[in-house]
Amino acid sequence: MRKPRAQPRTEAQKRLVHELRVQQLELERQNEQIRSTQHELEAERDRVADLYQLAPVAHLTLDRVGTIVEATVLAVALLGVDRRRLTRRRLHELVVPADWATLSRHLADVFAGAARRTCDLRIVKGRDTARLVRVSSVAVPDAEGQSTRCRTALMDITERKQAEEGLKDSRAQFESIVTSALDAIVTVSEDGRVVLMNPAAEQMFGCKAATAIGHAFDRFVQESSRQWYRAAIVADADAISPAPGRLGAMAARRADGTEFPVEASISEVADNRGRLFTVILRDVSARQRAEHALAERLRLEQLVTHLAMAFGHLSTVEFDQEVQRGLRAVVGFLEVERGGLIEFSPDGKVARCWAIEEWMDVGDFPWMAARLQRRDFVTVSRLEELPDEAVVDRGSYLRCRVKPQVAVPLEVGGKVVGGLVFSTVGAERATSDELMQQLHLLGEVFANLLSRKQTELDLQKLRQDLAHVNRVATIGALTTSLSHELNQPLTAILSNAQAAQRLIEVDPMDLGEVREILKDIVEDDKRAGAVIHRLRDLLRKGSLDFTDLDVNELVGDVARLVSGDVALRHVSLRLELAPELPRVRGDRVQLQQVVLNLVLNGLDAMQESAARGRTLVLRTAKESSAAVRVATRDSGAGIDAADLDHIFHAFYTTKSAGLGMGLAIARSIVEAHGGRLTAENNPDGGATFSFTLPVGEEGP
Amino acid sequence: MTGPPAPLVFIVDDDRSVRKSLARLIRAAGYDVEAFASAREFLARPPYDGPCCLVLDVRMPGLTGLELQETLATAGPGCPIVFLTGYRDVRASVKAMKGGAIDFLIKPVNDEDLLRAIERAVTKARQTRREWARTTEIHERIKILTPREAEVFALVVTGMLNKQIAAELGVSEKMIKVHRGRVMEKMLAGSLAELVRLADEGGVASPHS
Repeated sequence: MRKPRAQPRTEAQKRLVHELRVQQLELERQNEQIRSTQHELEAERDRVADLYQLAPVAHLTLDRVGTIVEATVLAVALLGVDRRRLTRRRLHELVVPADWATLSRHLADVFAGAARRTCDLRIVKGRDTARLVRVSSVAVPDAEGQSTRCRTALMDITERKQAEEGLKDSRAQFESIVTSALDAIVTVSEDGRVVLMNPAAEQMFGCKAATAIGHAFDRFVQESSRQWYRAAIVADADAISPAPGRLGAMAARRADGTEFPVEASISEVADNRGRLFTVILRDVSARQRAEHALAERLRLEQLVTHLAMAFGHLSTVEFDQEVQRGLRAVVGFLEVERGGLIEFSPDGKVARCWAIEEWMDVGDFPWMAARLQRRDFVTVSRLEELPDEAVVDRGSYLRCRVKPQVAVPLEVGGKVVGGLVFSTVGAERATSDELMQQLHLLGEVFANLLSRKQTELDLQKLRQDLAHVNRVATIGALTTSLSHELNQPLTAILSNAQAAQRLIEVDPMDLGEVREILKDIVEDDKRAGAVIHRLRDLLRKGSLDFTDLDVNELVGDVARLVSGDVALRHVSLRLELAPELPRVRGDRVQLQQVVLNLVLNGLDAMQESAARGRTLVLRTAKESSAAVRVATRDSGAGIDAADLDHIFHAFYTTKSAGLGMGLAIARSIVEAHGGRLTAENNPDGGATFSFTLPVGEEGP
Repeated sequence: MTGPPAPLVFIVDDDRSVRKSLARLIRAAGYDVEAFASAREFLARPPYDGPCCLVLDVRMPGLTGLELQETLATAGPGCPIVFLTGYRDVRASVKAMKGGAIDFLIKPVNDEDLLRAIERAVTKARQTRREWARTTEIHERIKILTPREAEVFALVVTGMLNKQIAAELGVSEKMIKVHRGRVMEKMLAGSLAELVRLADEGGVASPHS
């Protein structure tokens, strides 16, 4: 540019200056444009660089031998190596050696064909983890058209690979589960045909999969369950989303027609072959059997409890009624028609019989009763089973029109006390173990009932006996008054007779007076008779009976009776029983009472002595050819000499609690049996009470 | 009284027929008999002045035989008792015998045993009556003695000498001799020995206890 002048300018000059100015402005505008474009370019470059760096796929730029020229941020993260140390290293260093060959071949392929190539490489990351990376590369030509570089995209496919592998595994697992499942699994198509059947289903239905597939599944469903089964499929088919499955009880049918209960679960499975339904079936007949047995057991227990309660507070008055009610309950439970209870007497005979509607009686089934006595469970399913000797039984069966029979022996304390008998009227029925078990349990209830009844009777008898003993005691007290009463007429008779004797010696005899006397004698004799009669009335007792008794047995009975008491008092009880004692005649209960009394006395006497030495000896011996002696020997303090004379008197007692009647009663009983009861002190301490009983001579 | 009164047998028994039969028997043996149904009835009878015997039942309602025995014992010589009882009662029999009973017989009683006992009782009754009559007579004599004479009588029969008696009573020997003479007179005693017997029979106690 020329230097402007300061002298007045010419027009040309002026024009030039103007042009220069315009040009300058133009330049300035262009300059401005260039600057703005440059700015845009720079911004674009940054954006691209950012995009490159931030792209979701990791990128590397490699040369022909795999040296890393550039690496994006993601690539750095993927390879897990510092960026500064990454460049100028070969990618091989980061790949597991086994994959080096793959990488080299990949690079060779890329630079040879320039087409996009892909391969999977395992990248070492950290000490011992490897990531599976999918590598895609494309060669990049330079200005001369030579490919010296390639761009490589890296993608971590470890998880995806694993998922693929997992999918493969679970399919295999599924197949093995279906095959080995215990439950029957059947896949059914939408139109109800069997598509698949596992071995368990084959076994359950007794039908090979090959013959079932393609046919309707209905044939395995019992008619009553078809509706449910179809509804389950329809419900699923209509459902908008696949239903979680329907669960229900169903009756199934095997190929051979037998039916059995199952639990079924039906659910839809999505399949590319269309809608399919998986039916899982479980045979629940065993469980139902168990449930049934449990319910049965519960029912039995309820029945037993009910009976035990009903029989628990039973008076002898209600006994027959309650037995009938109990039998009815049991008959209802067992679903039989006839029931009966037999009671045996202690000598093993059928003593009584209770039966619903009196269908059986005491003498009806002697063969069965004999077997019950031997503790046999008697089961007769068919009349033909009866042995020849059961003639009476057979007759009774025919007459009562009952068919099979089950009878259980009722035992209490090792003794058969009775039997429980059940029969049916209708069809003959086999007896199961279950039935026998039930009968066994029910038998116990009835056995207890009989034993309770016996106890009740024994108690009643004991009360009677006690009442009698009391009466005997009363009689003892009344004896004096009675003998006085008896003496009066006897005295009068004798005196009258002797007066008459004197009168008839006198002459003349006063016949009138003698006649009077004879009349009086007759009157007095009647009076004496009446007194004796009254005495007999007083002594009378219903079950008083004299029988032949084994004294050892009697003493043994008492010993058993007091064994509890003896143990409680820390006394050692010793029995010294003479063998082969002759039998005596007497009232068992009364004599037991005597022995019991003496034993209890002995126990009382030892209460104060040292526990260690407390010994009570019960001894029997043959006194002579005509008498037997029973003795109780205690180791107590003995009897005070002053008491020795009085201990047998009524109301005489040395005990603080006692009426003093025991020994008095004992003595009166012994004397009533023609024996003698005595007491003496032992030389080595304690006392011995003993009594004799005459040996029974007369026959019963 | 015309001659000795006849022995009378009383029967007390609550049993009518016993009573009746015993009465018959005893009457047949020759006794007079009166029978009573209770002790009370018997006690209501006026006392019998003659030899008698009581056949008594031990056990009776109301007053028992033993109680009647006690009651009678306090009322003079009365009747010897023959007890009858229905049963052996050692204690009762001992008590009865100690109380002076003739016998304790068990019913029914044999006639010979009963009549022998009655006979013994009657004999004893007679004897008792005699003794009682004698004692009564002696007592009558003793009653007429002065107090001093009675004192002298009591001492004389113990065998004391006049001198000793004088010293005992604090009077002169001479006065004792006078009293002694009067005692012999009043007591109708011929000798000292007779006087001693009278004292014995009359139950005069010696001052020396």
